[in-house]
Amino acid sequence: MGALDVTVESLVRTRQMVLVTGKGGTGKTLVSAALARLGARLGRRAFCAEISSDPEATSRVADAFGVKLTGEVPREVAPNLRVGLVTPSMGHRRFLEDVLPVRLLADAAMRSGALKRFLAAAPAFAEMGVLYGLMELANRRGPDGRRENELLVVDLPATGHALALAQVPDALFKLVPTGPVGEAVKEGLLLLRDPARTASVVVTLLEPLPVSESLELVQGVLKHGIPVNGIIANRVVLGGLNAEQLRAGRAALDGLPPLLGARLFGQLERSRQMLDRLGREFTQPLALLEELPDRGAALVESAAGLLGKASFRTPAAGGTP
Amino acid sequence: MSHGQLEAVLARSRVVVCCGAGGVGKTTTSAALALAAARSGRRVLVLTIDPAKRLAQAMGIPENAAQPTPLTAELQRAAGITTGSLDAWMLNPRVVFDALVNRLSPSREATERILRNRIYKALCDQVAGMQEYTAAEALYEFSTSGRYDLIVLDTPPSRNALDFLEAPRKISRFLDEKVVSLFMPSGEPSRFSLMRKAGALIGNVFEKVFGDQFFRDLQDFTGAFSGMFAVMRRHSEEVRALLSSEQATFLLVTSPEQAALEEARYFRGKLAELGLPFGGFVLNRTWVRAEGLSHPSEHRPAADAPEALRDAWATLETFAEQELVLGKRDAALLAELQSELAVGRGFALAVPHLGEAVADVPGLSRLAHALAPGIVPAA
Repeated sequence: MGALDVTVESLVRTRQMVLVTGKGGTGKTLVSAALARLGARLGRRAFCAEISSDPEATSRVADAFGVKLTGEVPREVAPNLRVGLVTPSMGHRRFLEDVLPVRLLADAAMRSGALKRFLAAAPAFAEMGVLYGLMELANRRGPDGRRENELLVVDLPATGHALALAQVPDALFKLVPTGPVGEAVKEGLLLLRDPARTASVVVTLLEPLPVSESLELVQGVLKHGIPVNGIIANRVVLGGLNAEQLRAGRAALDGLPPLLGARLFGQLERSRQMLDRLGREFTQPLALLEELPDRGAALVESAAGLLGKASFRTPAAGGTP
Repeated sequence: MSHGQLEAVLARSRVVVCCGAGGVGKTTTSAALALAAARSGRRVLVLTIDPAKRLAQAMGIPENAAQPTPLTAELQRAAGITTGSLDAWMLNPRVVFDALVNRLSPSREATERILRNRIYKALCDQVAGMQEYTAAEALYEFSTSGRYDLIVLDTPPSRNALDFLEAPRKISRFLDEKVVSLFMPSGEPSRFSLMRKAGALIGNVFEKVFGDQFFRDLQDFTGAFSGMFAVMRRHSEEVRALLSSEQATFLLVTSPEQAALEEARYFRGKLAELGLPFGGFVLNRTWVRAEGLSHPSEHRPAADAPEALRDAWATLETFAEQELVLGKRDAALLAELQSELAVGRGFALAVPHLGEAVADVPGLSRLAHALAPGIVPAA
């Protein structure tokens, strides 16, 4: 399958937007931060966006870089790399500024409270605000006419909510087919569904539940016409044991009382099984990011380094990629 | 001692809310806590949002049930539940809201009008957001029904769980009659001319932004819903009061991962800010409690054993050392959490890693025992 191999690096080098999704606890935030860092190292002006319903939230992406960031104003965390929250209200404000003929009216509308509350409380519109905020970040141009953010990496919320974002264009489009919302949503759809501009990756652990949920997530994202370029398995520990050694160890363990080390041994067995399963059940190629001993900002640097060398490969069923 | 405090929480609370980052085992912990409380003789409902499919299957909860489903008699017996009972329900926003509309709307015609409205349908079909509203409404329904002694609520992953905490207040704000009246069909005059003017401005903005078809739908929606707003607001206020009272306990579930721990601490601050009762930390999937396990070096295969086995054993021995190191790390994390508790306020306890993901009733039973060893299952 060598011809189909795609490097992780080529995604962050060529795409305008890279969406990162996955079940909670799989390390989406680390992978997002590392992908953005990789893009910045390649010389692109990168922005790592984190979705939050709370404009006062503390950024977890910034935390990963060892930087404290609270609120909606983005911050540079490394050369060529900014981190920021994308909130519904931010998107709504931009949207109103863009569609209303007079700036004053947009201000009045946001200040009036009623519209703001309606937009915040009606779920589809909260997601629409997020989508608009992302589009704006992806398209915004500086005074020199160049794009301000050449690479936008989006750390999407946990599984169910990531799907909600994917379905928003369709849901809103049914609801509001005409007028500026319809237009904005159409444009958002074009960006999300354009494989030349947008890529998405699903982060998983080599454990049964995350793998099952990733399968659902991939299907859900594809259903909405958004390309899924690959799966990134995070915190991979495959150990040095081959299938025969694993079998011999298991047979002996089963005949003994519980031993220290047996739980880690079981984890290793499950990792192997999950790799097989990813090969069998997914058509998307897989990249591995091994468990790293680092902490804090050093962890992002190491992960960016490893991802820079990683390829998405189609795992052969019954073997390791 | 911490386990005793958790057992007391399970014995006395009417609502236990489990919060935490994604992937720390909240759903499983919620189910195991519910099981433990049911063992002690209470009638328990576990309300879960987005449970792992295998867990739902193991507990026998269908995905789109209109009502909570009791665990089968066989499973209850296997779990050691005799005088108590355990029901489970996977929240479905559509079901909860349709029931609400049916209960509250003044006439059959009004009901139909709401259920057919495009905005209503779109709201119910949204995955995000609606679960939080629904959780609050379901909590109201079941806490007032008298059917259960205890409701264990499994919240969505952390940041969204905050939405859940805010949902009642958000609903109150959204349903504020003054706001709603702005969207009312123009046939219903507002008492204040200022409100009328504001309404005209909003209408103007809405038509420009959303197109007039949507605005008509919205007016229709708010018109049809108007009679129900006061009731819904009252429900949300009562839920809020219940959650702030001594009858509720919030448990923060975390794994030993740095990010999950930070999330749990952040959450604790948020609970204090919102005036919600913090019960304790549950440090999940830890490597503590190595006692009782023998070291693989005591069972080392003979020198003439097959090479594959000897290689496997060498790896197992390094794993044993790693588990000891991880156990020390987790014990230190637990001590740190305990030291952060105010004197006499709350607990922190560690639950051992149970190997495979807990995905059946025997697995939940083991976890329930690890959480509340003082609650002994009926023989």
